[in-house]
Amino acid sequence: MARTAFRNFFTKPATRRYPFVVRPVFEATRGRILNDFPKCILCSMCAKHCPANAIVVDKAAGLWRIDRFACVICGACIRACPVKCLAMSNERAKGIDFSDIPGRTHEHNRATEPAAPKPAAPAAGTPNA
Amino acid sequence: MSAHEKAAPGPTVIPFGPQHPVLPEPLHFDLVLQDEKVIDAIPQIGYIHRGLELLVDKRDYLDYVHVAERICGICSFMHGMGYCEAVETLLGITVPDRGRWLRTFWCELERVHSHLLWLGLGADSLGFENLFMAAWRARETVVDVAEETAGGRVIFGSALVGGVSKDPSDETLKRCIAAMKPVRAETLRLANVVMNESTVRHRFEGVGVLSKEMAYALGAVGPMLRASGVDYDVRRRGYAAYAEVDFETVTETAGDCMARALVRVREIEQSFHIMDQIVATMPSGPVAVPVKGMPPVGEAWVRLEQPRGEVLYYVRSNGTRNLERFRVRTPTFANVPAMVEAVRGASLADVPNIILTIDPCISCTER
Ligand code: SF4
Ligand code: SF4
Repeated sequence: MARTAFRNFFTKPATRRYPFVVRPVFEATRGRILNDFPKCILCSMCAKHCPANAIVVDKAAGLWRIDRFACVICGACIRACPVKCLAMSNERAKGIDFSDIPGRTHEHNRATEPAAPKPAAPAAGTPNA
Repeated sequence: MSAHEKAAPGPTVIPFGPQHPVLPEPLHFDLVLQDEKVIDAIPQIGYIHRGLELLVDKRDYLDYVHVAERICGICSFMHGMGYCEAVETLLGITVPDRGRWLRTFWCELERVHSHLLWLGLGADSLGFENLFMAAWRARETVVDVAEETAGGRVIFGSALVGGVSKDPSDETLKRCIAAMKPVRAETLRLANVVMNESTVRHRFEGVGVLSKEMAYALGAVGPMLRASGVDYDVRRRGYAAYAEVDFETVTETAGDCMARALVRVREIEQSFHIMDQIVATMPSGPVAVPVKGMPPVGEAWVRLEQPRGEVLYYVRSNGTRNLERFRVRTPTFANVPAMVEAVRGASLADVPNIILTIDPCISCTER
């Protein structure tokens, strides 16, 4: 162990200088759930299968909402979705966005995002997307 | 009797935990002391019960695997996989070869990361911070490999009823094995430190001895049992791909803290050996079979070898999508009587490291 102590004078630190140096994510990393909302049929299958009850779907209001803090990123919703509009992104959700308090949820709304086939891109600049 | 003379004091009871610097999780002991010697220890658990077993009748049986995985943060993959194996037994499903091989790979990866984590915590319990940091630095590579292959550092999230959900390519697996080479060398170096460093030897040798007979009689499992000289390892049962790989069951005979530490440190080497073989003989093909329909009425149970020892999963189905009962008998639960026996007769200052060498996982125990 004395050798180790001596060697530590000449080796680089084992830690990164986060947040200046960020370790890149892997291809397989489970980062967060994305919904290609125009394809979504608001069937609630994802909400039913979610073990953390993180998804709320309100068909009448045209609303699909995920609570990113409650989500445990297990992927059960992706398997449950009949139209395969959910996907796993390897980018992790950024921290809380205070412009959107209570903010920890990410919402898609039919009012701003019409269903396909009407051409519509997912709402740009949505916080926490 | 004058005022200055006192009668010989009777036993003192010292509470140990649930909050204690060496304990990562809440566990309470009432230590009955005669002077500095522990003459008895009364364990008490139940601080972090979450009722995860009961959730099984609220969740679809295919989704419950994600809950099962969260029973424990360290043996996460094995809990998920144990649940899957039990349900697969119930359904009569055979997992494809590649799925079985990958399961074995992740089990061993988890064993390495668990044992390195333990080595860090064990070193920390003796105040050997240098060893603690070295062990956790080595572990970092292992959890990165877990993320690269399975998607999560600690909760692997890749177990699925019918197989596994991730299929890392053969190149990725080979690259991971190569990336873990330095960890392997580092583990050997750390093993040397554990064996020869006087700090460790002072605190571990001859402390917390559990005889072979007692270990067997009290139903100890895992490294605790093997350190007392009983050659028992559930992996020999040959679940997943263990029947196809060659490995050695690590045993020691002394039964003290040192023996338990050495069993774990030597098991890391065996796990690397298993992972090498798994990656070299990885079959191609699908990793999972589709599972449909309801589970039949009936019950099933399986046993696995976790880093902490034998674990038992029991499931009972009533023919609906929600299982009726799920039960996990975790290794730490089985080790509690043996832990009490090992603590008896030790001095108060040795209690933290004796408890740590059992590698207690209280979240598992209470579920
Ligand atoms: S399961 Fe898919 S289609 Fe149905 S509500 Fe969820 S995201 Fe939309
Ligand atoms: S990933 Fe899992 S926890 Fe997150 S929303 Fe989907 S089902 Fe729920």
